[in-house]
Amino acid sequence: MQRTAIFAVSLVCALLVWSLLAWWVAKPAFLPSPVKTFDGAIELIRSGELQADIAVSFARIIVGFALGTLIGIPLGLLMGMSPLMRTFMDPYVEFFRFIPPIAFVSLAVIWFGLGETSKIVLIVYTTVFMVAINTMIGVLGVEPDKRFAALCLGANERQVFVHVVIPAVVPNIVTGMKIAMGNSFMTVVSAEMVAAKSGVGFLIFNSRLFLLTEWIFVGIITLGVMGFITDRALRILAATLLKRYDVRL
Amino acid sequence: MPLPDVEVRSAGRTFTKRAGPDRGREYVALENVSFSISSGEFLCLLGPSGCGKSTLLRMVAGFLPPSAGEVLVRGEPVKGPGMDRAVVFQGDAALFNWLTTEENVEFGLRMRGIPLAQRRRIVADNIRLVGLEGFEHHHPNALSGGMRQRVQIARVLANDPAILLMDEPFGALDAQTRGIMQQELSRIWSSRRKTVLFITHDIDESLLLGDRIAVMTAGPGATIKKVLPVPLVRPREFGENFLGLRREIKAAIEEEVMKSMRQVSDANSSGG
Repeated sequence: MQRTAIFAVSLVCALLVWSLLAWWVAKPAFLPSPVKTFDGAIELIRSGELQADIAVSFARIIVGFALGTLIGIPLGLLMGMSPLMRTFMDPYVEFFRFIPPIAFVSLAVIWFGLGETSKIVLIVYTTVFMVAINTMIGVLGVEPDKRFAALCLGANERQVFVHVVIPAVVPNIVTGMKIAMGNSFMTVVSAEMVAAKSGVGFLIFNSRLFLLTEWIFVGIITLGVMGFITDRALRILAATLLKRYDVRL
Repeated sequence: MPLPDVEVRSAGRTFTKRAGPDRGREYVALENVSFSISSGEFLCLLGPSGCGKSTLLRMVAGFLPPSAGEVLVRGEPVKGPGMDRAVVFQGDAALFNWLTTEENVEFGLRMRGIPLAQRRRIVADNIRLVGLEGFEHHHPNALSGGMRQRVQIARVLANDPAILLMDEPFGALDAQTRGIMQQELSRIWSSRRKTVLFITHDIDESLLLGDRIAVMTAGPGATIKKVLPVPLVRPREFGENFLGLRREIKAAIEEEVMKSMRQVSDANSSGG
């Protein structure tokens, strides 16, 4: 209850500061007021443009994120279990660690065109990377005594992997997914800004051409809300479905 | 004469340092260790900390091969971990924290494909034996340290191993809980008669539990200093005989502790 109240006060404060700044600057094209931004949002919703952009961006994120997770988990497990695989992958991990997905936007467009594929590929890239690395770290961190205990209890190597390693690594996988989700947002927006005809990133970038600064604000706020909702959804899912694995977010 | 359940023959273990300034240097943890445990016997391995007790247990468990000598279980050389030797680990890192008490105890049975009805019965029996009724559906992190060790004990007993290897299982518990756990273990052992290798640095604990006590020397190159039988009837309590034995063991242990302290101070003075 108290938390909600403080939350509301915090929001009101932000709106007040924003209003004051907008009034002081007095140039809507430079800094639109909250009211003007709200009007802009209504306008975009009425035309259906905002919903469409949200849907498109979300779809790209979800498809890319899901595919990336599906590839990243087994890859991470493999890298964790096999020293050979780990050594083989090491140069690539160390190399690509420093290359943000944004750097690949132009290349993705050349290879996969302006359609959905280029954006999804970029999100898959960032997700696979984050999920695989966190999964691998998890596998390497499984206490040796857990494996030994299972072996003494009559488990074979396959059972140790399925019933000990995988459950023990779940918290790391979720951590990787959480970071990957944040990266997916960054990736989709930057990709949509450079090469797309739809999506929230496109909305933000395109509004600049018409000096519709309030639309840029709408786009930015929408992104924040989308991220907040996704993060909450991930938390609630993890807390309910994966409660026994002691996942902390 | 029947074969002993566990037989360690002039076993040694050398470690090579993997990091630090003296990387690559060899450290002889155990040297020329020999002892045996007959079937149904409770042997306590008593020694100062850092003398390689755990290393010795891990070699019997099959987690670590000996660098010299051999480790035999019922006459067969140990090749790796096996169901005949169950381990109760020192800390609770070996518990499966995503499983409840019941599921932890059931783990071995499930891996071995024991039918559900039978599994249920064995699990319930063992949970009762260690006094964890009412905590069947708790996860380890919702249990106290003493209860977690009970889960470990029930988990290995459910699998009915011939040999129990216990690595300072009560070392991390408070004095009160430790006392209770020692009595409980003594009671459980009396009803199940497993062959036990129990590691401890606590003289009283070894006197309360062991049929025989093997006192170890300080490392490096630790070995068995002497093996003492404990001719006391169970349940044991602090009496004249107990105190007499205790004095004897204490003298032996103190000699080793002093030796290891001298080694440390020598190393410091020569290094400085």
